Amino acid sequence: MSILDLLAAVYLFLFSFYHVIQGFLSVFFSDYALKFNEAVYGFHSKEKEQLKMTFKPWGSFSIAIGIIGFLVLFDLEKYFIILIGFASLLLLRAGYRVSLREKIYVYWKASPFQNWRMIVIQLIGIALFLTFVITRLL
Amino acid sequence: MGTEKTLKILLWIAAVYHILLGLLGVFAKETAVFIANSFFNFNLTLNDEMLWIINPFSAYLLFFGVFMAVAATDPKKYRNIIYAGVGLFALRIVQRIIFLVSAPVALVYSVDPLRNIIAIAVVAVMGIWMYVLARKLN
Repeated sequence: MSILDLLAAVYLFLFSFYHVIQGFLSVFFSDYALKFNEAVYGFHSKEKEQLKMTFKPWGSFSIAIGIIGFLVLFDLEKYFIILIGFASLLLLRAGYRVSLREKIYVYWKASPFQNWRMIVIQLIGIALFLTFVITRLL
Repeated sequence: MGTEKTLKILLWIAAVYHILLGLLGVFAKETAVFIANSFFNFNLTLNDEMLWIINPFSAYLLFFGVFMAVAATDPKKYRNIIYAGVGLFALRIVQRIIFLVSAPVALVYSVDPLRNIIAIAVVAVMGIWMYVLARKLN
């Protein structure tokens, strides 16, 4: 296993763990999910009731994505093609953060540092996942 | 019809459903109120907060659908991914029941109770069927 493979596996573990935790909080403790999003992303929400209700279905999908991540992690060689999906998901989320950055700063009161930090983290994941896939396909 | 073929059909139905909802959320946010009313029984008021939250939520819907499509290409190989999907269906059923029973009245989109029961039953039957078929695969 190369160092890049190891980094991809570590990133996938953190990616999966994050999604399960974020999903669990969103589904079962939506008040804490609001605080979590404020602490991690700097998202200061205004209207909370609808948001908390939306967290529940979103959180259940987040848990499912996290569990699929762990399943892939247990046998990366067998399931490596799924990493393309994870890389695409990260790309879409990073794309939103770039294209809607003004809204993030003005409406959600998140700082540019918080936003760009997440974009960089997502780009690292995309690079690691795609590198892993490409090395298996070649 | 064989076990694998039936399972593939069910997986493709789940995949197309989630991919279409995800794509609508990504590219046609004006349909969000209709989707929330029709598919989640949620009386959504579209404000700036909701317009933002639809982005990541749709991304998860979309890629969960993609993973169901991947599983449909080779259900034996991706049996564990199918179980994760079935787990999500179970969680969504429980959530939907809790939502209907305990959500603030203003957030529940009023529809015929029979329609709710049918919606829950369809997801339950599909989930159980997928689980049984996946278990039967050799």
